Amino acid sequence: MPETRPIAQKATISENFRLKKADVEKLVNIWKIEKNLGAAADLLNFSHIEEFKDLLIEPAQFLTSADYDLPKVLKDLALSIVKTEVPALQKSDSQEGLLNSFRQESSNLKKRLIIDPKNSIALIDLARLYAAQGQNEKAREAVLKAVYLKPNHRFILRSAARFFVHNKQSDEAEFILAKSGSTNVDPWLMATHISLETILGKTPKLLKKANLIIKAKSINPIHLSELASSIATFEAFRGDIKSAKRNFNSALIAPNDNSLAQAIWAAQKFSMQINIKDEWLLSPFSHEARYYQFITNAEFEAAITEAREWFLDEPYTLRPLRAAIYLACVLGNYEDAERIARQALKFEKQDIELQNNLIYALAAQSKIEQAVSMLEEIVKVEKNVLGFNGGHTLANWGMIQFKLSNFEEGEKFYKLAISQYEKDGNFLAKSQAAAYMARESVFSKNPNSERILRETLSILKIHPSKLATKILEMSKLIDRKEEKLEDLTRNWHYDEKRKLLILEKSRLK
Amino acid sequence: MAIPSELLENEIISDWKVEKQIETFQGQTGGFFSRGYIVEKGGKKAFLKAMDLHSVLGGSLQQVNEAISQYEFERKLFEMCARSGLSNIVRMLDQGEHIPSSIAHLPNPQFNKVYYLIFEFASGGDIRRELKFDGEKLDSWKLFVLHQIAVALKQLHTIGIAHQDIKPSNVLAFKEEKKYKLTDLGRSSSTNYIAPTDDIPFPGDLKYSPPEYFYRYIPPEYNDRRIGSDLYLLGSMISFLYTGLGALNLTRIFTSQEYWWGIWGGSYKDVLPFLIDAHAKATEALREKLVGNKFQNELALIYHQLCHPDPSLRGHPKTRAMSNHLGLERYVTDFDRYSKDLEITERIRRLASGN
Repeated sequence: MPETRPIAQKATISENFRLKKADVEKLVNIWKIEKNLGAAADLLNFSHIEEFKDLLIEPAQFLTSADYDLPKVLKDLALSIVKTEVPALQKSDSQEGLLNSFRQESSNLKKRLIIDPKNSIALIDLARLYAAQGQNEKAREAVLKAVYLKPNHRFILRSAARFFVHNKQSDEAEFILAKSGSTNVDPWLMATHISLETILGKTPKLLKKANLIIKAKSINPIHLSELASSIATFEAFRGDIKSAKRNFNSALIAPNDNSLAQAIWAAQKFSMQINIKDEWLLSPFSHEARYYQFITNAEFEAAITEAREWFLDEPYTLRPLRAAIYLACVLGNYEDAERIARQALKFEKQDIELQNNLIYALAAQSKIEQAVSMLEEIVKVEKNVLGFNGGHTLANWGMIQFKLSNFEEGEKFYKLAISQYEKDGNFLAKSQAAAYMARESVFSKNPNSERILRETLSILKIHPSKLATKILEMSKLIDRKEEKLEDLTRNWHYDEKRKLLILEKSRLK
Repeated sequence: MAIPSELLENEIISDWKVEKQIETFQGQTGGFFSRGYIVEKGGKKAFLKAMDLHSVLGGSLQQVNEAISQYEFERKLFEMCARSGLSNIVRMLDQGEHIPSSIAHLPNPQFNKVYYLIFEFASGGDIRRELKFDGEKLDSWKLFVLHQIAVALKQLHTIGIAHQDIKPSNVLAFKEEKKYKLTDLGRSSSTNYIAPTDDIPFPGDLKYSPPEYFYRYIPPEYNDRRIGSDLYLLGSMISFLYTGLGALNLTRIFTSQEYWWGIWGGSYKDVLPFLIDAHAKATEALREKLVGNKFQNELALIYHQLCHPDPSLRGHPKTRAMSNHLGLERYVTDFDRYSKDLEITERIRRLASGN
């Protein structure tokens, strides 16, 4: 082989070989002399070069205006060049529609994997679909295959981590990231690893290195946003609010959807003051961030819309569904709350929080039999697993008592729940439980409602909560019909010592 | 004032009579040859490509040097092809220098030379003229064109030439011979001569370029860089014949914007999984367009192999696994077989329908 000149990494193309706009213009003029389909299509292949696009309008118009039977990809491209709207696929937001979309998408993904079984992106997409339909084992298999194929790829590893956290296997996610050689050097993977260790209650191993990277400021802030945000979250949980705030401010120099959502959520949870710019929330993918922001601003109707969009964007995660269920209950949309809770329970059958949300929605619609039946099961599980009944279970019991006009019992169990939350340091839940107690007291026409309301307002004075305030506001707007309900709870009593509801005999067997 | 290469009409050049200038010809833009003419000798038509140095004399010495190198390089390659009897490469019939008679009297005649190459004339023009999507152009025709391009490439590779610029306008129809031939070696690379474009990672047409060059990734191996690019361009012709779009644009349609060149800030290695996924989608879209074609799945698979975004995986996987070769000969055989099979099927269908 003769000696060739070395290839330059960034070769400077000689002026004589560089394609200029004038050259493309010349080609279009040549085409005009003898217009034909093939030559027009040929020219449209310049469309990936933005500066030439305006020269392609005439060939694109030629292709779309004549009666040609064009391949769809070519037609759509031509339409986009002449700025005619390409018919968009209809987004389905009904549950049946979503399921059908899942089936179609699943079929498409499988075809892609037949073409190329090593398509790691398709494997991750398939895993997401499986997870969204509750098929967690299949999802796990697909994720592990993708990780095997690309053990150091940022997107693959982060997607895997997201799946394992959703699957309540954060330790497995942490293991995969720890094993990858890229985690130590890629700020995005470092951020994910730190978040995982925070979830697992560990002190992040890379914390020191991460802090040094952020202090050095030698990397574009875009790549450091999630890293700063994950450090901040760890610090907030550790109680170092000052450092957390400083790192969230670093994260917000160039935030992305994740770091923004994280910052807003943390600001709420830890009562931190953080400046959020409106333009950050304009991204079409910032549903989670906007959801938190609307919650912060007590715009709950808008928040529930965002929660819905968030779920459509991330159909494999339950957080938007939990958010939507809770807000639906606050706003008194009990049918919606029931529907969404049942949907969420398809993915997480054993989730007590979701079950309790469903119980509340059922009881609020006076579907007492279903509510009590479910509550019985939760009580048994909590007895075996926790050894005591949780605050939410106690509050729901209280609510059912109010519905049955057992005012004393109703107040007693709500106060047990409030006391439980106080002990746990969960003051937001405490305020909300108090608000629900006042609400159910009013709804059940409890003669002691005034007193209960005064006590609730005192609690809110000490532990203010916009959600709790909204719950109270909504309770004045609803007219409640009188109805007499059978007391299906009369065979239960509360063991103060053991802190357990005990069933003497269930009438529902 | 007209430049020398514009003054050739009615001239006699090496017994060829220059008939008329033509508006369009291959290699017209982005190069040095500025004029094309129909010429005639002994009743036979041919095509003359002309260049002079006037367009570069006002520029740098480097530009002058490049213009001359370009002419010399192309001339040598076509001579090699003619010597090697490459039947699917447009044959060069003549070449030389000529001073137009109208300016022959002027001083410093060396600056008024026209450098020309004369090629056999393609009566059918290029394949863009013939392309249809409505079923009028038969599958057997498309497979035949692909076979002819693959044969041309094989012939070139055998003598150490990588074409680098396979595109619809460079595939010419020779009706009398019932052949399609490749033309324009101006962007080629050769193992025998230094090419003016050797410094350029991808010297071919940007409409059809393999994607890695847009992400500033240059495959380190010559085989992947030059021969692999030829295979990509061959595969791109499959998608062009069936969808009007080359592989680059077809894949881009299925790539999320954040992974487009110009937007993606990371390495090619990191964006590759996304391009591979988009390529799978593009392949599926192409496969759907091939419905009704007896070799729908086979063609889709060939496209997938030839246009793989990972240059180290382009070509036939079995040949790659065994050797450094990319398996072009397998595609030559496959295209030939499919084309003949389809022709027979179509003929039977026509007979059955009474046409």
